Amino acid sequence: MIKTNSQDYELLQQLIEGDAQAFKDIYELYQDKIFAFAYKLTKQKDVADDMVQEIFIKLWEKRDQVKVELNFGAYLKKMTQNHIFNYLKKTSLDRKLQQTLKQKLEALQNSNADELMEKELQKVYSEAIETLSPQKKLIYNLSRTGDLSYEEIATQLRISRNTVRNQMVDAIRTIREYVTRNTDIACLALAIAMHGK
Amino acid sequence: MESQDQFNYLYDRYLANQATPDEADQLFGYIAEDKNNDRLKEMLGATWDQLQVAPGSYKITPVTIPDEAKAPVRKLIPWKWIAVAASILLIVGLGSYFIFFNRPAKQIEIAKTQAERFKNDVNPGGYKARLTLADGRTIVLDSVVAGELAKQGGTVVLNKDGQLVYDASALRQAQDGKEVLYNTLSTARGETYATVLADGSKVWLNSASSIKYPVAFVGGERKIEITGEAYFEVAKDASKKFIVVGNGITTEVLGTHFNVNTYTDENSINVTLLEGSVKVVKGSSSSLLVPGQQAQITDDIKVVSNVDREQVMAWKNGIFQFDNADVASVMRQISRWYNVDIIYEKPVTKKVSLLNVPRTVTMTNILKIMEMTGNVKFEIEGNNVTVIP
Repeated sequence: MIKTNSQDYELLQQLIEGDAQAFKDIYELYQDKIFAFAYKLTKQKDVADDMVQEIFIKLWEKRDQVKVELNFGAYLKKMTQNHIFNYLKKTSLDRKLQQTLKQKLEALQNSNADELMEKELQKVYSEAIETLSPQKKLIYNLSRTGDLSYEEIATQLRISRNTVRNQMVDAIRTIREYVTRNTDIACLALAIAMHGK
Repeated sequence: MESQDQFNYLYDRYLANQATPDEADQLFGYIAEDKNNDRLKEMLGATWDQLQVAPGSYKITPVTIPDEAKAPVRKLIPWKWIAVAASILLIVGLGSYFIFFNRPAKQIEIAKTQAERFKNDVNPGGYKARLTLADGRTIVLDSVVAGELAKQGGTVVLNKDGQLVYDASALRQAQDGKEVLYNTLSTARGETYATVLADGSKVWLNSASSIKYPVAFVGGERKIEITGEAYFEVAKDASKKFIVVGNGITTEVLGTHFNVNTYTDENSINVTLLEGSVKVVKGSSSSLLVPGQQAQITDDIKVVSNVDREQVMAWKNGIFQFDNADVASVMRQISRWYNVDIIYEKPVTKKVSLLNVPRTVTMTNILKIMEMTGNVKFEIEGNNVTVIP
């Protein structure tokens, strides 16, 4: 009587499921940073947006090459660096692209709105962090401000690395929703204020 | 090197949106030169490391995974897995072909039936305990061994019907000066017992718990030490305060019915009063309870009124009673009564109800009821229960 090899079945399942979940987690954790980095280097939001898509799709396609245990941060950093590097290299050889970039640069220099937005954003961001539960807030701050790795945080708080990751994902999602919701309002207030000048 | 500094300088200006058109041209001049490639990559790396972004600062288009990338398992799994899948295929039958290779991941999970997940059943706990006498002797108790167990300093210890009875009627009044003898009654997971103390007070002991008590009550107070959970019906004796000590708190009573839960894996220590009056003391804080109130103790004492008595007393009444409770707290009780270890794949936040379910049933019945809510699934293997959200 042949017994079903349930262990292999489970591993197979984990490979499929675990990857989808890991992908979602990485996306939650890194989309903002990748976008911000791309925008900072290309000065164009639409270009940055496209890059985020490209990077994550490439990450998904190559996922069987990446184990769940790996330091995704480092892997993503490398991928993003390469993307941006290629873009800058291309621009340096293309007059037209350089023109576009210089125009964007000038527009950014002349606008005050960004600076005010920056301040407003900081405020909303701080508020958002305050809405987190004590544990999530602690983990988030240890990661962002304290620059601790998930492993280090897990050891500090005597919880599992997975718990740290899950809490971070939740925290970031919560913050993003809060900020998005409240900066729309801030934008409106800002627009009205500027208009009134 | 001067040109390196210049490159750095221009790069920083560019990042800060301060570069003039000329400076931008210069920067790209540097970038175009292959000899600066490594330098540029380094600078990009540093920028990445220093970048802190508030989530939500920008509106980013959500990434949708292209369909062909979500392709059947076969495309992505190396040979080893195809071989495994094939062997499973042979065993399970042709019908499964479609499950493994054509359906997305989600459906594979549904395919595992309850019969496949529940590999065995687990028997409920029963009346069993360990009694440690004052002289250090240990006796294993179960309701099977009846009759007189021991005589300790004039007190006769009887065991009958899952109850340990201390008969001190032969004890003379003049007992002061005599050494107080202590017994300890303890239960492991899957066990429960009850005892009638020398003063007639009744104590019910839950699983994974213990009580240490004097064989005969001499002196000015009746002091009991517990771990885990116990329910008391204390006989009135105005001359001797009944005190229960456990996990850093003290519960003082005169004559009353109350439940003390000091399990260390619960969110708080709970003392629930059903009848009479008790005073709960932790360090320098104390609270007086009236019937229906529950003291919840963590760092301080919080008193809750109108607590669900059915739920608190359920274990003593031989049932499981959970009214929209979180899965974790239910599983803690399951763990103690069925003597199983609980494993969580991911944190579970759902709620379940078990209303008036006898504790005498086997474990699969309990889990089946919980699965009916659709909020949770379980896997049983030997003494391990895995909770799947």
